Amino acid sequence: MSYVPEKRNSVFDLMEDMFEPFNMPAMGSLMKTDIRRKDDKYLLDIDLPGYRKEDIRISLYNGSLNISAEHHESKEDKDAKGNILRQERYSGSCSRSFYVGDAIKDSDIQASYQNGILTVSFPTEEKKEQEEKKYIDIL
Amino acid sequence: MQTMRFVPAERHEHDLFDDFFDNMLPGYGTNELMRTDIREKDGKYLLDIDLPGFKKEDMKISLYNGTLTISAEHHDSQEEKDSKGNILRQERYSGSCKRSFYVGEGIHESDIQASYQNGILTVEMPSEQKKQEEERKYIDIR
Repeated sequence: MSYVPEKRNSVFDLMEDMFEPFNMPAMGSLMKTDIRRKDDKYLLDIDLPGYRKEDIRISLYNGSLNISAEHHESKEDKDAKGNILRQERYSGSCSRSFYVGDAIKDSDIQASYQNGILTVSFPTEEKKEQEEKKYIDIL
Repeated sequence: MQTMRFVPAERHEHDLFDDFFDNMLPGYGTNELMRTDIREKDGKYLLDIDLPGFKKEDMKISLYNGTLTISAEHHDSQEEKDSKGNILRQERYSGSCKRSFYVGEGIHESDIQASYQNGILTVEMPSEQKKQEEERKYIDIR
């Protein structure tokens, strides 16, 4: 896990360093992520309990996949909560980036949010290479 | 503010919601797992507990001797584990965890309600004393 700003080309690097450091190093316990490879996809399972789907943003830029989450509570929502006796859960915003390479496009990425876990999936580079091959029809 | 005291013998003066965190695992301090917010609203106490990634059936809430205990485990079958694919990185905690809170002798199982949404288990119980008739061992999670 090293911070390497320049682009990487090899498949080996993609699987090894699929992650950039947090914006705020103190928040090491947030957005814990499991990464697995299944069939021809990479899947990221990210701990994000207590958000609404609308508050989670996934974006792709320059080969970097960025996931961010915020709370957008109105004043009424806050008042509706009652008196706070103890606050341990993190109530701010958080974000995390992963390097996924340039082969991936927005349309390749799928995400779902269930039971507080955001699962993001996208095809592996081998799968992308297969898709790129085009054959000419023989009439 | 809460003070947390460990009193091993009889308990007479407990702060409400004194908690006894059972899983002090290396690498996972008390501030990592099952983070809990406690609030009071309309005559009820509500506990919001971070528990992402569990199934309702895997979480248990029980009440004993004035202590409310919430536990969660993963019961993945071998097929479910195999269907996950190859693990490249594992950061999320994948074991079981448990946490207890002192709620006093006035609360009964039937007073407690729980629901699980977006990875948060919300447990509610009355803050005023009430008497209930029914007896149940475990609290249903909606």
